Amino acid sequence: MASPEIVIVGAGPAGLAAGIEAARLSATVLVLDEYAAPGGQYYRQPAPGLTAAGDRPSFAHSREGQERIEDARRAGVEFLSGALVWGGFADGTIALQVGDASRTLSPAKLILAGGAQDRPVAFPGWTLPGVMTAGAAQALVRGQGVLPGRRILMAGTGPLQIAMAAQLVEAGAQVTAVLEAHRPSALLGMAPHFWGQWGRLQEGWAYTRTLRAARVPIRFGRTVLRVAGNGALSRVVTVALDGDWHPIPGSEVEVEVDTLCLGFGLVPNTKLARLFGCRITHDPSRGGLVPVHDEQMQTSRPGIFVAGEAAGIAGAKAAELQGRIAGLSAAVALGKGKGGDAGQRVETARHALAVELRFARALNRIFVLRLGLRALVTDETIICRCEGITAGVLRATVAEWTRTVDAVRTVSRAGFGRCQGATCETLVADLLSQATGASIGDVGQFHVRPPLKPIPLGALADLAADRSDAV
Amino acid sequence: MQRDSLRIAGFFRRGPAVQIEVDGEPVQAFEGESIAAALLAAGRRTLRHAPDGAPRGLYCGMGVCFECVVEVDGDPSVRSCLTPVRAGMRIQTPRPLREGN
Repeated sequence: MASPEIVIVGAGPAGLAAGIEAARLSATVLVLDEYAAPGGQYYRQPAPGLTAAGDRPSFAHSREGQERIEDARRAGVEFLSGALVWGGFADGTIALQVGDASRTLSPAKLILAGGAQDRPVAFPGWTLPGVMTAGAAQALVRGQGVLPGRRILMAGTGPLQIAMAAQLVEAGAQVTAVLEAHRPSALLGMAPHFWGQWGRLQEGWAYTRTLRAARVPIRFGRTVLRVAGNGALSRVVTVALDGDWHPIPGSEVEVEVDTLCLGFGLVPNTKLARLFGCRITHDPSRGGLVPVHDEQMQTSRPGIFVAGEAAGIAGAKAAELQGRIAGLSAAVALGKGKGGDAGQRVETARHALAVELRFARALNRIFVLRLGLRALVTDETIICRCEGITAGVLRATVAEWTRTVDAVRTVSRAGFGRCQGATCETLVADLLSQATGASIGDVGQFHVRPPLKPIPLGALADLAADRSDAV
Repeated sequence: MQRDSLRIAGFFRRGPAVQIEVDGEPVQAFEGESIAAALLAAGRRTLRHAPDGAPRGLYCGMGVCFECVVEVDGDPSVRSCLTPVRAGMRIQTPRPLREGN
């Protein structure tokens, strides 16, 4: 395949919008995505072979996604699903693996729209089967039509877990409770930001009505303290939290469930941007580490754009607007759309985006994890799941040797496992910040190197023959 | 209420049933569904064992964490959350090597 003019990594709301806009300006566009079908997490499509039966509210976003995917195909966007992007080179070339084979693409413009992952929170027992992220539960229900378990407890913070709980209830799951770490008083600050957000209020109201009808309680100021089970999860000990989320001794309650879904917000996926050497900053109001970008959504590396949750947590609407801006800007930079209304379309999207970002940042600030939650991490608690490295080992490392997360990684091996630190990076940063008193923005990040995810050695060897300039 | 399966009734129309083999035992799955979903629906929540012997299962569900890695037809590092089942697929759930074994 000849390299298309624009390659987009990620087929969620941002990637689809970028592809549609660029292709309509007659750029050749290829969208790469790691999943079996385009759509990403928000527009999650049923697995190939499954078709939605009926017209349930849970499928609303999937249906909307189906329309966007069809729009993209009509505009001439090509999709490559099941494509793992694992490398980036100094000249803007990317390396990807599809099936058993690796290959490279050298597009003129690259748009990174790889979305986000659930923010990990560690506590004793969190590696037991049956403990999973809210995102995993959502992918199972909407992508596979399979319930994550029979008796489900949800714990976390923010509006996403309320939405997830409602979807689980609608799918017939028994949700015993939703634990929101914040006390109601902390959420009062949210009220003014919802002025004008009528669509969101309506959606939120529908979810809470579903939960109330199913008698699923939302317990404020409570979270998970530890979990246990023989071979898999069977018991969760919950605890009341004070205003700073410190567990309150004596408030423990044990509940029997087989599944615990954790919804503590999202972390932007910045691995590919970091591999390309795009400048990264730490901004809690955008979800943590995020790439720096200009008004065109271009990163510090010319020709590399970013859009959606990968540019900072701001929701699907913002992702779509950023995708539009990135797609239009990339195409215009290629000399497309001369004499058309591309400039006007960018302006319109930018105005709508400003409103979305104001709302998202206010919400992100409210739902930043509070420091008391660190008390959940005992010395025996595993931090790096891949290598089985505990907080105690890491704390000893920090005290003696190291002041950056990358140094902690080198000494402890935390973050050197199969996931390449994708799961434990924020946990290690938090632990280091706690141990040294340095702010979370000052402890650095794991150095990112290719391959971003494990690939067969044979695939690497194929490419090594003709390339030696891997970043 | 006890159900036969975690597969949600009436939510989706499923493809044809296929048979896969998990640790030498036959397991029924449906075409297109992920290995992780098929194993979960079959009551298998443990997908592998860590080097210390501790059980691990589906965690991120979106290809990030590699906790759901199983061996498929001899390929030792297949993410079961992203990989669809195929009729006749042979799956091994990884276990640590024990001394004297």
